[in-house]
Amino acid sequence: MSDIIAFSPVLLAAITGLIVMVLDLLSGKNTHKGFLGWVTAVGLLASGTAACLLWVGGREISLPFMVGMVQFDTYGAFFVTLIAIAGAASSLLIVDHNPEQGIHDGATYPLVAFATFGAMLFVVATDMILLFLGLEIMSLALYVLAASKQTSPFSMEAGVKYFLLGALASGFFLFGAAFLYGATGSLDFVTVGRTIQDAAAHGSGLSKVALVMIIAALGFKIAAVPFHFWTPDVYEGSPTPISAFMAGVVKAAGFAVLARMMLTIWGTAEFSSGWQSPGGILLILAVISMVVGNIMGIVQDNVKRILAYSSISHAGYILLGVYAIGLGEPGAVGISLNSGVPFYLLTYVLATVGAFGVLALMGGQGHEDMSLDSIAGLGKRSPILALILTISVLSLAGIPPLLGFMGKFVLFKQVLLADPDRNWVWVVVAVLNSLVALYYYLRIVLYVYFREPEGEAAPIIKSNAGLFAVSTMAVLVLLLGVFPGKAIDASNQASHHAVLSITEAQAAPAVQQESAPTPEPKQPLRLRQVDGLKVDPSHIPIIRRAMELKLRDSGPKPK
Amino acid sequence: MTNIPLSHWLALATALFAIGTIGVITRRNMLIALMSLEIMLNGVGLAFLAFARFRGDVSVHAAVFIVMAVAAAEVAIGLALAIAMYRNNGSIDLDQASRLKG
Amino acid sequence: MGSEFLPYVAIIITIVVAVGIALAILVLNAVLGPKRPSEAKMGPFECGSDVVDTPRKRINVRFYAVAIFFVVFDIEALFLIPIAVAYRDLLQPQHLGVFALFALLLFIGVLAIGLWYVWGKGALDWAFDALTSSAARSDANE
Repeated sequence: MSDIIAFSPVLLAAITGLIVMVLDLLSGKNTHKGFLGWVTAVGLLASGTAACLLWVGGREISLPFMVGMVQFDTYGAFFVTLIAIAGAASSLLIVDHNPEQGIHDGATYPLVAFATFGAMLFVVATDMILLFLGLEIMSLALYVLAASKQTSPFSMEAGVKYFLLGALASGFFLFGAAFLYGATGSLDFVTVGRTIQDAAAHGSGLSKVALVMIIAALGFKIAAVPFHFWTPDVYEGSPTPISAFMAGVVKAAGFAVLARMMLTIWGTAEFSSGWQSPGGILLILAVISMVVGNIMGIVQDNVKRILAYSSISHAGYILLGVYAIGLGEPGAVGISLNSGVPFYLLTYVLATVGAFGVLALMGGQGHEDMSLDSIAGLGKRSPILALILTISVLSLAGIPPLLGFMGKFVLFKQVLLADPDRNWVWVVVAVLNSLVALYYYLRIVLYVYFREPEGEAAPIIKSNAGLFAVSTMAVLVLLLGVFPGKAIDASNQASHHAVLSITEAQAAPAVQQESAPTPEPKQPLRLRQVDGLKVDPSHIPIIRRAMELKLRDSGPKPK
Repeated sequence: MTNIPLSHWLALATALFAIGTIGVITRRNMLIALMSLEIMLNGVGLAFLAFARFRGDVSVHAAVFIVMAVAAAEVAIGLALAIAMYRNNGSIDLDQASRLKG
Repeated sequence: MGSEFLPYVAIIITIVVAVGIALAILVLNAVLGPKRPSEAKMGPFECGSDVVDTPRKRINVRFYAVAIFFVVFDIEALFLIPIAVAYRDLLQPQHLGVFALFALLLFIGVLAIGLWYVWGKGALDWAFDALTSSAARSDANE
């Protein structure tokens, strides 16, 4: 029973979807379906609240029907909460969308709830197949949502593009999972990780193929550069609330899983040795994502496309944080998840949902595209929306009092501290990129306040629900920017437990392979000091035990 | 039943996967792209089964069931999108879906 | 023939037997069956559509809707059959116990809500227009 309670945040999202489906049917054909948006939002927020209430240490869930497939720890709770907030905001943004903008169908809300449920399952799963199931529940709902503006060829095209490329990515993920199973004989993260860190399995062709395939698939979901081509098209063509959902929820979930997989499965000592290592691949993706995202962002004239390229460059910054996971002195095993990654995702999701949310409250009446010209003069027409858009965009840019600045600061600092000798180059690249990005963010602000519309400006939708959602985002960005302490603490705990629950499981005696005790390598065991990571003293023996086990595994094998 | 070596199974699975991938990328007809998608996922299923047999582990067959179910759901949504596309474009030629410049 | 092809002998035998059974049925039919031909009987069976027709002819888009729902609900059996086969074992307390029945009912229940939704939205009616024309539907809404 306690397992059901521990799983309840994820279940609540699914139940919300079912309830909204039934309510949609019972309310009849001719009612306005806006109230379903509120029901969805309340249900998803309840799920987020449940996740916060369960904020206690690592907790393994072994429901009778899925033993060891789900791990609900503070890492999961952190991301479930974040996803719930973003999902609730998106469903509120849909409430007052008029028929002309396409979304007026009751079916939209259950789809949003199910997509959120899929993202939550994706985040808490620690088994390849359950992970895939979560990925697909999220993606399938989103394919339909992207195409849900039935009168618009753009929306249909966005849906088709997202569907074909997304299905390709799922295929790659599954193929990678199959090969990983072939290399290790298990689909469970911990067992796979334990086997693959054995030198033989790590070097085998099967696991290399699996690594490339899985990074490609997740790279598609997080829109990292060579896998980013769909992003601007889909974000532009989809109904704007759905763009907000994709930019916020999908990216957060994708990164949460990428970080966890890198940590559990490929977090070996040779994580970042050379370009072909997992770390090397991530580093290359990180740098080209930043550069390409920012350069392409400069030349865009459509606000949604600018935000899409901005999301690509943000993927680059976060990838740099994920790359820093496995860094450390040779011998010491990189088992620390950079707490900058969850925190940065928090800052990114709040700001990007806010920015897309303001765009979602404009348009309609035949006004389809969101060119810079159509937001010109927003400062005079709707000061409050203009203010919210400005706050969100400046937070994305990383202007000091706002949350985005803290995110960049914490992330870059931790990347630098992970390996000061080599990483300063990449941090400098990232900071220079943030400066380049200022150009297009400030361009949006310039148009909002200092330009008069030349053509026809986009009309503004009157929506209490939408206004409530975006202003909540903006208030959070402001408040957490000024008082970031709690949020940083939360992300520290989240990343700490992502480490702890895994090391606990790995420190447990291996069932299948029982190797003879090898002579301990004479290296000093050090807990790597990561800035801001407070290690609970009672956990030190467990971590130490895990490090010893890992050292023994990665040491030379007596044959 | 004598043993067919694992490499034969894997070669077939990889070939199916590659044919499917190339089909999704190059074919311009939405329905043929959907068929290619199905071939891709069948390749994955075969790879799972080959490894399961090689390792003598039956439990992974459940994974194949799930892959098949998800493939069916994917095709259902693909068909729905094809209908939406036909309604908007009067054709299911993917080349015509290029109003948005990527 | 090298020995590595030996395992494929079984597959070849299967193919031969399958083709053989099909041929045998056709031959036996031709030899033994009574023949009273009529025009309708002589035409090949084509699921109700005309036999001689232009290949470019459009298939009514409503068939696609039926195909979509069939594909989705057809898969239900994929999960039910393994459970049905292993059901006796699953009911043993050392496996799932009564929970097996509960899980099965939960699965069918969620699918039933889905079916109810599809039904309630009118998607099972042959005249359902949402997929065929959006114009017709927006007229209906006003």
